[in-house]
Amino acid sequence: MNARPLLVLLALVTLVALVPASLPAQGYGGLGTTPDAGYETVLPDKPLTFPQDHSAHPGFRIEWWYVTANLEDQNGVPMGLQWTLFRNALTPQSEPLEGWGNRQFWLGHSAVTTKSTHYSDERYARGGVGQAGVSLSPFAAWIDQWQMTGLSVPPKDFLHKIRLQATSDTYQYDVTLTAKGPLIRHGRSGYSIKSDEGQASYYYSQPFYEVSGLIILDGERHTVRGKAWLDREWSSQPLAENQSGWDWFSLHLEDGRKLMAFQLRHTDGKTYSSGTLISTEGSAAPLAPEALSFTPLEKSTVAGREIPTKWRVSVPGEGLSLTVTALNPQSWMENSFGYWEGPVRIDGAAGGVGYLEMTGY
Amino acid sequence: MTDAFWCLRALLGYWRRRPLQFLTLFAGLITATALWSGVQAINSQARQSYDKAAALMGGDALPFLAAIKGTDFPDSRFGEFRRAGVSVSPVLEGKIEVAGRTLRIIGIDPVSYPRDQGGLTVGETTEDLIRFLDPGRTLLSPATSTLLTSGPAPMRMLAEHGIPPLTIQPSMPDDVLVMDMFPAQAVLERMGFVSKLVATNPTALAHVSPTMLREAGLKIVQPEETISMDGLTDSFHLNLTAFGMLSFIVGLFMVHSATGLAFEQRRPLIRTLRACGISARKLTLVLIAELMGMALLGGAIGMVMGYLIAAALLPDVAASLRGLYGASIGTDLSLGPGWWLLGLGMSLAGALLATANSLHKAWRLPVLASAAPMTWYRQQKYWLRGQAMASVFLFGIAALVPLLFNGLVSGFVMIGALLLGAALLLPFVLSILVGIAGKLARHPLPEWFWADSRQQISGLSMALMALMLALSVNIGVGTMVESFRLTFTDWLESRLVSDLYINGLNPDQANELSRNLGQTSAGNALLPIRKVDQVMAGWPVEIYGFQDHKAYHDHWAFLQATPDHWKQVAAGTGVLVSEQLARRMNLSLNDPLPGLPGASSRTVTISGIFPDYGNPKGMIMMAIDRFDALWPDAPADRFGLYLDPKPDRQGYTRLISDITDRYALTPDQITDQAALKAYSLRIFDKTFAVTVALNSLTLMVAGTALLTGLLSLSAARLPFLAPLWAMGVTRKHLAFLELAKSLSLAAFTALFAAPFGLLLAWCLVAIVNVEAFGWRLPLHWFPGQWLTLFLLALLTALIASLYPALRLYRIRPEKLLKVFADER
Repeated sequence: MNARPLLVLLALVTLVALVPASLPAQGYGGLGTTPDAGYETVLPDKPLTFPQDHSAHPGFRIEWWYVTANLEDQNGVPMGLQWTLFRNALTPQSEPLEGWGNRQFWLGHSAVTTKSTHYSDERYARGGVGQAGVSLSPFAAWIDQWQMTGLSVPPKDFLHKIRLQATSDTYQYDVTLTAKGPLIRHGRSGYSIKSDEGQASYYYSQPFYEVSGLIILDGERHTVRGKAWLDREWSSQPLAENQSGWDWFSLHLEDGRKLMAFQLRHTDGKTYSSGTLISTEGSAAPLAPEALSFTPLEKSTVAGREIPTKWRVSVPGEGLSLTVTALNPQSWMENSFGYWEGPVRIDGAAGGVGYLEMTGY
Repeated sequence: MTDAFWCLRALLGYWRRRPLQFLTLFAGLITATALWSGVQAINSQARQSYDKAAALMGGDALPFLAAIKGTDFPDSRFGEFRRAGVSVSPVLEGKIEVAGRTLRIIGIDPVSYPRDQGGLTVGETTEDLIRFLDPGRTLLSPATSTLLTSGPAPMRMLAEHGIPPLTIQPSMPDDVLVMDMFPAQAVLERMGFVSKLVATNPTALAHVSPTMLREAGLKIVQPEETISMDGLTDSFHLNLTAFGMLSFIVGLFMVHSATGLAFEQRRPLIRTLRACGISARKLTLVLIAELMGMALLGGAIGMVMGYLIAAALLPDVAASLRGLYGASIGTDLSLGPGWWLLGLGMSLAGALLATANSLHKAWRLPVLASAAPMTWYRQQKYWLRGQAMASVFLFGIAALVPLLFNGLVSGFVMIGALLLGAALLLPFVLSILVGIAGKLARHPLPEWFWADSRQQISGLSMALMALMLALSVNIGVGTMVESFRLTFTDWLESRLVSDLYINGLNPDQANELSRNLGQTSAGNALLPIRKVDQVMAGWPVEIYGFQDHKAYHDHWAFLQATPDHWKQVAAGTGVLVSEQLARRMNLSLNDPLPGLPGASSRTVTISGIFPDYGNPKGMIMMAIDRFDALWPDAPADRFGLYLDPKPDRQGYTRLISDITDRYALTPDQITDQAALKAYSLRIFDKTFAVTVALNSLTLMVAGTALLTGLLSLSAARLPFLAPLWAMGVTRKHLAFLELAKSLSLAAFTALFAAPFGLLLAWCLVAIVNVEAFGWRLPLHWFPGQWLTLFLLALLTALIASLYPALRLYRIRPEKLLKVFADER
């Protein structure tokens, strides 16, 4: 999950450029390291507090609410969906201002994937005027009619049960997510390190969602069930200068465990890896960089580039060696900037499903 | 190749010997290109301005949501509709005054603003967008920027208004400032408000729930319901094009006669060249090359002149368009390479067309054919009958078109057919008239005079046709404009009911002023006036609320009214509507008025239809109580002050200064009727300035045609004049006869032109005006104007024939003698 900040910054370059075609092909690298004067900093020993931290942190530069779900329809056909809301502060503003003076910008991505189709769409908005935002009580995160709505009441966590909706030209979904386990804090109690130079973010997840609901795809109704994963992360300076792309996995193992693992690829060919192995009860074990290995097994031509769509992800210390294959190798997010994101299948003894995101190819 | 070169040299030598004929040809080419390309330049400039204005807001191409009441509404609606899945983008519009100029402010949200709408580029990079928001940018046209940065005063005003730093964008229309919503709300003092929510794609509003709309107090406005400048101004541009076309055709006629004459006179040369072994093909190619060279040069000069004409006329055109339609066009002429290429292409194609006949003859000329130069004139005679027949056909079209088709274009087709028919008929009619005059003549010299005139008609027919067209158009357009002016003056008289108009009085001040006035004279009254701007049936409409008073009863003029219209209006059951509105919405007396907010439309009927000449918008007058119930928020600070008895001029001046001092009003907040009338008439005259300018230009074109026609003929006519001179008619006498001939032909032409001019005036008033503006003028006759034009025609002929006559007067006798010596 380490690499998402770059994605967000990339996204926001586009958001503010408004002219997708003019997006410079190379220039996003520098954005990750622009000085963060005036923004709040991620500190190692600040504990996360809920429900407050479900809401936006406008003092930080970037933040997101990120859901991916592995589903099956009434005929057992595998499907995937994505719902993402990004926030970016163009200038440091500690308070969320109401009105047009607000300098928070929002970006939404959504997608639906099957073995043969992959549709995605995006939304832009500026903050302070009601088009996009996050409210805590009742919980809601939205951009246009793409909404994540809290359905649970205290003392249950606000994100215990949520409803996700998105509508695009070719697809539409409305699903309900119910958590069957606790929130997971990555890294050191939510303080997640991103590079050897010490870049970090606040990062927690809810990987235990059970999903049910409806997807309408090309006019066809699919009653779906499955598992979902929510990521929450915010930071002000997320990436090191030499980091050029990433491969990020969120996996639901058949035995009930969850694995979050990523590698950040450096321009010199080296990588920085990290991860969390989550037990069925919800206890999180951080995985050090050297505890993980990622090996591309097969490449596919996607949107004119070669992208690995079959991987071996190994955690030798835990005896895990997973063969991860894309459900649909063509899961290219054809938005104003492109990246690969789609459901995956874990073959072999371990078995399971998950999501893979790859950028910088 | 070499023989082609020598051939060309031999042919060009002809022009060196006859510079005047060369000048004629050149004048023709220039005339054909100049006015045409000038008019095209103006049209393309205007078209660009309309496109910019239309593209700017997308509101003209895409539907939008607006408040039912036509007011601004809270910007929270934006978020509500977006969350409901309605893809809209907010726009705030308003006006500010900077250094005496009204600027339109448009606030947008660059993030949600529809991307594919032209004309507006916030920027291409993150930095561009951030700068647009913080510290902010104001997008404006180069001309507006020049205006605003030309002095310290406007700059200070901009700073005081809180307008963000200026950024020039060539695609912006003039007098418009586009900025982010945040500064726009502050500049316009409309914090928290927007004017409309524009759909970000054509179908974005297709599924908006009616309940949601109702609860928000908003309605969907379709793009066709907004005002399209194209439609409104079409008539104006068609008019310009017609003038340009007229001149183009006249120019081509000139080219045609000059090259026709040149061909006839070069016939011996051509025969010799052919005899020397130049093939017909090569000769024709050389002739074409010669023509193309000249057309290119003449065309280029014509284009430059066209540019100058356009630049000179553009301010008038801009004033006309503002006055007639409220359309704003830029006054800095900017023309692309397309315009130049098209103009030169027209010149080349026109020249080829005009000389096709001569070229064809040169191609087919037998080597041993006679070299007699005069056959061309004889041939021309056969044309007369053909022309007369063609004109009958054209009159048929003119009569049929309005029966079969409606619309502006059919009106112009009818006028075009009528005028062209008349022009073609002219030589035929002239030859009959001159023939009759000849029959009446009793002495040899007058007999010769008329016979010779008749003989000359074919040579001068092109020029005379041009003169006839210019005169008809002048009479027609002149009659229309003068009728309009007369009607307008009467209408101003009836419309400006009050003696003074005051803006900006608060209710207490109004009560006090009313009391004071009442004490001075019981007949005085302070009459409140309300006004809102609405869009009805896709058309801007001004709705006024007024207080019933005898002042209105005494002055207001009607086209139609119910017997007790004032009573109905005062009771709130009736309204008065303008002729334009009635025509546009197809309403008659006693019809209910649709389109008012709430249930009013079912309960209000039309009690009177009044003329509203020259107003591009529709107008509705209703009782003030009714108005206040519908638009309680409309400003209530406008008043008309009616005085009875009327004070003298000094009394007015005193009263105005009393009121301004007492209520701390600025001079522009109080207007007296006389000033308003003068102002209105000034606008009116400016509006038609371009028409007057074009009229004079067409007369000049006709004069040039006449002059060049006479000059071309003068040399060829020596063999006809020499015998008279030999018989004792002095050169002075001959010159005088030549002058008299031109004058009489011009006089006959003018007489013939008059009825067609009047017919044209009728077409303009009864068909074109109604189509273009939605009102019909009463047609007035102006015999004084006709007389002026008649004299002007004679003057044009006199000026045109003065030089040829003078040349004849000064001709060396040996030249006349040479005619006999040369005779074969």
